Amino acid sequence: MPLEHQLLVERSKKGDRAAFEHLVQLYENKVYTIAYRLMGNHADAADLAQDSFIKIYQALPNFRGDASFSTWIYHITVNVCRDELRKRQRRPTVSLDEPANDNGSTYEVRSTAPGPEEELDRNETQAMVQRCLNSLSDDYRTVLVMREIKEMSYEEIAEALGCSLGTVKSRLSRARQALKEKISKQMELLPPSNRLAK
Amino acid sequence: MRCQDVMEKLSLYLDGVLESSEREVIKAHLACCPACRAEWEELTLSVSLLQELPELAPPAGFRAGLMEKIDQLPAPVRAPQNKRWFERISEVSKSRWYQTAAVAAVMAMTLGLTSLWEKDGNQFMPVDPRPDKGIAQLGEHPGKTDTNNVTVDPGVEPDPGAVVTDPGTQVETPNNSTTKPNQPGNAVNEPGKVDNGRGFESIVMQPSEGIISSSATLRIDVQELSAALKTLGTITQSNSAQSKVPILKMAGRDKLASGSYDQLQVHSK
Repeated sequence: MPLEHQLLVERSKKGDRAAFEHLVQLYENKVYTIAYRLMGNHADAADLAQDSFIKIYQALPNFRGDASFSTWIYHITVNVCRDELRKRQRRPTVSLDEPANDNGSTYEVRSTAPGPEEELDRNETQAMVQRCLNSLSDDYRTVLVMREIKEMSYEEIAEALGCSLGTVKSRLSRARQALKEKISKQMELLPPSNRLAK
Repeated sequence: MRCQDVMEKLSLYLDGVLESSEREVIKAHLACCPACRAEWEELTLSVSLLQELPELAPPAGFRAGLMEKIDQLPAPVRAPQNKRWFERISEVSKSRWYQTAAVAAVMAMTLGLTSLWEKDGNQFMPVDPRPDKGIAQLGEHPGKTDTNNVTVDPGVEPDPGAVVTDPGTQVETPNNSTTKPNQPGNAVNEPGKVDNGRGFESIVMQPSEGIISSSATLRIDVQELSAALKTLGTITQSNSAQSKVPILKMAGRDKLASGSYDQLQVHSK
């Protein structure tokens, strides 16, 4: 971690608001990207990135520097997103084809799939990869984001997810295989000009 | 290696974490197996596409909204840290009181253990209350027949005293005041007799190898000091012992005190 970041962390730990805001500025893209890759849409990504920074702010006095600061905040962000994904899995599903109840109240429905206006990725291929990522299970998506996007080591992933190294290796292998199959199928659907050479 | 085995290891091969021998096997297999090579190329393409996804910026107002939320929070407080047991112990062990207590505990344990240390009889041990066993100590010096009995008069001396004995002898003082064995109030040790009447245990100071220095304090009433000193000198010389004999005058009677002996039976009342 650069010295400047270290100083900001130390000042933030002592309650320096300006220093923490500076830290947010330095890491907001990284935190936001993790949240977006895991949640698949910008609304959730923005909410969960903010929640992650709030958790970081609250946990900062206890940051002992055992791990690098960036790994530590990725760890928190991934776990905030995982908690939200788990909550959603536990939530009962509601059929949109049937009336909610007799008094005619309505549900606010938020789509987890990115809408056309949300697809900020630079080109169609990147959007396609994100769609493939979104279609994977939460566990596969999480381990792929940690490994391929944040370049975390097996050990760091194992610690963040609370599982063994063997589990990380096997889960990552299956996640890569699943992603490869999804992308291969999607590539066949792309117009020939957009296909990447194998 | 079968194609299935190779495919299962492609992820680890991609991360470069396989053993070199396994890596070489897979490399050779990919070079000659078109199906596995196609799998490998698709896998590396997918992973590289994922890695190339760009970093995204949060929407406008993200940071301002976040800081507004943070301003509404109470100031962060250092939570009690969930330390591991050895971290807690190491912190406690750094405190001064703990170090002092540790040294005291080690010293106490060392003293306790060494006091129980038995080595070739170099120890103080209770004497078997059977009388012949205790008195046999001086009986091992058959040539020393000039040792004497010194009588304690418990009526004059209330403190626990001690009697130096030798089997089969008795004291004859110059004024012919012979002690009377087995007389009430006089503790005279004869072979086969040990007076434990007041609950004191007989102890034997075992021969040492120069390690243990035995000592005993004797308080002896005598009727004539010079004769008693002579007798005591004879006893201590014959047993290669030393004695310090401060003389106290008390109620018209002389008193000997404080002797240091080795290999003497000390018999307390």
